[in-house]
Amino acid sequence: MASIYNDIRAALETRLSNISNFPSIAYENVPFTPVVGTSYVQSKFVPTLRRSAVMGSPNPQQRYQGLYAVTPHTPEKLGPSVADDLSNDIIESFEATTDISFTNSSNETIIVSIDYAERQQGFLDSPWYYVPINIGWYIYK
Amino acid sequence: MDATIKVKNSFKKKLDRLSEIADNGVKEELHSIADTAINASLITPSRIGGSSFVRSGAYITSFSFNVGAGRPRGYTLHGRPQADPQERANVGRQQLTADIDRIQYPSEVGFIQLRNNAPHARSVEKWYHIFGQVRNLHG
Repeated sequence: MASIYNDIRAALETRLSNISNFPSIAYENVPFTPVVGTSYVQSKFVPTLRRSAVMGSPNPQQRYQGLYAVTPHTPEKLGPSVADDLSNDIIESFEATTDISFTNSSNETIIVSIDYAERQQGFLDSPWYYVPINIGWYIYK
Repeated sequence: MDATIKVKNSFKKKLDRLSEIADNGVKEELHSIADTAINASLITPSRIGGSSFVRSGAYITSFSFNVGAGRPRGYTLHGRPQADPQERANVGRQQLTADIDRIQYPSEVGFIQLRNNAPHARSVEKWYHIFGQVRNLHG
């Protein structure tokens, strides 16, 4: 079912929001005004693929995969350590081979598997310093 | 002491054929990567509205495949008028196809790099994750 995307997004966003001592999260299409001088984390769900996992079946299981792009922003001119620490927390929470389960309102449970979590170098985008993190996920359904 | 090995012509032909198969396999993957990069750029909606973030076409025509030498393509969006996204995508795709055709023995090249040298490429990546999508699909 295509509505599985809602559940995948919910599983990933719930996982992110459960990280302890975490700053505010800017979710997609939700009003959010960053406060200069205060860290925040931007979250974006990017599906990339939906393909039959098998050949020949009239109602095949599908493989869904994509990115969960998480970008911690920290105040500029304070060095990289805050952004590095946030990145470490995110990567550890989405470590490769982690399975994330989520039960929706219909009491249906899905398990999203993490393929990889990798960060890039930090960039300055005044008044923020940010570190892009890409988390690769997949699920068979 | 020495040993002379004579390579039969038929064996050499088989080796050449294997090289050709490997080159074609690499080229096929490069075309697939080019398609992903161009299509992802074309169909990713703009965050300020619109079905594609492509405006001037500077980003989508700044992709290149590099094998080490040569200057990567990179166009600035400043001073460029609004363009037809599909037409710019076709130009970007043709340029990448030409890059692939220029690589003589792709299976023997150490690495082939997809680059986008537009000055605003980093901002595009921050908002639209084009290279992230390419890596997700092609590893």
